[in-house]
Amino acid sequence: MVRPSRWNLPGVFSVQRLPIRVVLITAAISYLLQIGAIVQGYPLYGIVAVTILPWILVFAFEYIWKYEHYGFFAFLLVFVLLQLGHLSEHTVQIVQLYATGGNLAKSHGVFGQLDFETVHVIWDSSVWLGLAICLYKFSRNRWLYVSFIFASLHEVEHLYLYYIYNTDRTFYLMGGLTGVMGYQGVIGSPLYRPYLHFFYNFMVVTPMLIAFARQTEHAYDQFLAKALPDLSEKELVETTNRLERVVAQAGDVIVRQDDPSDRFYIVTKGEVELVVSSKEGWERTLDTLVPGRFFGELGILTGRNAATARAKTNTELLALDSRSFTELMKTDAKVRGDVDANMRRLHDLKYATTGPGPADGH
Amino acid sequence: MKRGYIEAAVFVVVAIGAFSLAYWLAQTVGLHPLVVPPQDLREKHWMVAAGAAAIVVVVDAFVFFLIILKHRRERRAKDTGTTPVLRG
Repeated sequence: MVRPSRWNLPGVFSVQRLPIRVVLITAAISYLLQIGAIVQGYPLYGIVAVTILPWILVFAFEYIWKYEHYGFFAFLLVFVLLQLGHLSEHTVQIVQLYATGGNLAKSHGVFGQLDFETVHVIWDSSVWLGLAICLYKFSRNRWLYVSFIFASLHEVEHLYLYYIYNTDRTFYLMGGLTGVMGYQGVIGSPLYRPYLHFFYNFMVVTPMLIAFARQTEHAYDQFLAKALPDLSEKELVETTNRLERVVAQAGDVIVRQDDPSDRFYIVTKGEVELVVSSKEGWERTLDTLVPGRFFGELGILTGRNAATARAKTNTELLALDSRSFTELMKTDAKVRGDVDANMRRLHDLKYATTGPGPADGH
Repeated sequence: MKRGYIEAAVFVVVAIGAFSLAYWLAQTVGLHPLVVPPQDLREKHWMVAAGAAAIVVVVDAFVFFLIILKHRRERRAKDTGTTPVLRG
């Protein structure tokens, strides 16, 4: 059975790969685990950990889908989410400090067990280097430069702290842990370490979020770009937001010959065969479409599907409604050329066929 | 252009806000126990801070160098029209 994705919300933020029931079941499991952990008297990190745990697979599946469709932009998305999580950890810590009157021993954030220099330097180096990669990839995005500069300053701090933590533990414990810019540090500032690092993270995350918002305006589906390479970036972004994910099992009929046509399809996974059949009962395969190829355009322009499209394997497609497709054809001559060429090819294949083929007719 | 100013304004407001909050907490709530390094030991470690800064500057410079190369490659491709322009 051919089924559209239930959550076909536009843009990169919607859940695309997994059905809504999986998301709801995951939410229910997460909620139950959270309640169970609270009732059992788990510490804060345990409650948060069991709440997050069921979502990991959902995020992993979604990430793979988004990477396949949006390329490196998916990495930026995950990166921003992780860094927001990190900022939350620092925010929790300063709330704890406020609540305990500045008692550092009782204020280590949610995952306090991880509050030591090795973890800090690994995380912040990952953020710094990850931002370097994002910057290289999206090098026209000015806000990524701002974020990268603050991540670099933060990195100096953590490299220094990691070094003295491992080479001069006495000095570290005598107050060296305040670092370079912390209160009475090598350079110094009025901010004690937890407040300083909260500020550092804000300065990394804020421009990162602005950069992400900017980059979202350039994110489009790679399969759409492959199918219609002459679309401008603006058209790609706008059209991506109108695409709907459709899945079909092997053998499913996606569109039937001579039925009214209302959608344009792009194959993104698996194979689809285009088949013509006659009143006499013979059937012939015109073409087998692989990811990046499309069909349905002839049907939209003539009103009826010219051939039957059948999933040869388990298949995933992107569908565009006929109105959006027609608008695209009207406004862009180059795209019209791409689509015309495909239609002519199919037309020739169809009308060159006068009967069943030697191999696949029956 | 106008949007750029709005983004810059948001960034400045957030930066001032975050610093003000951090400063206010440092002044009113403080940190206990507050352990500060002795002056002489602090001075002893300034070379470590300089070394950390040097590492970061070298890596950053390498990243910027790669970006410059990438932009140059894109510009050449655009001028000759032979290769697709890299997006980013």
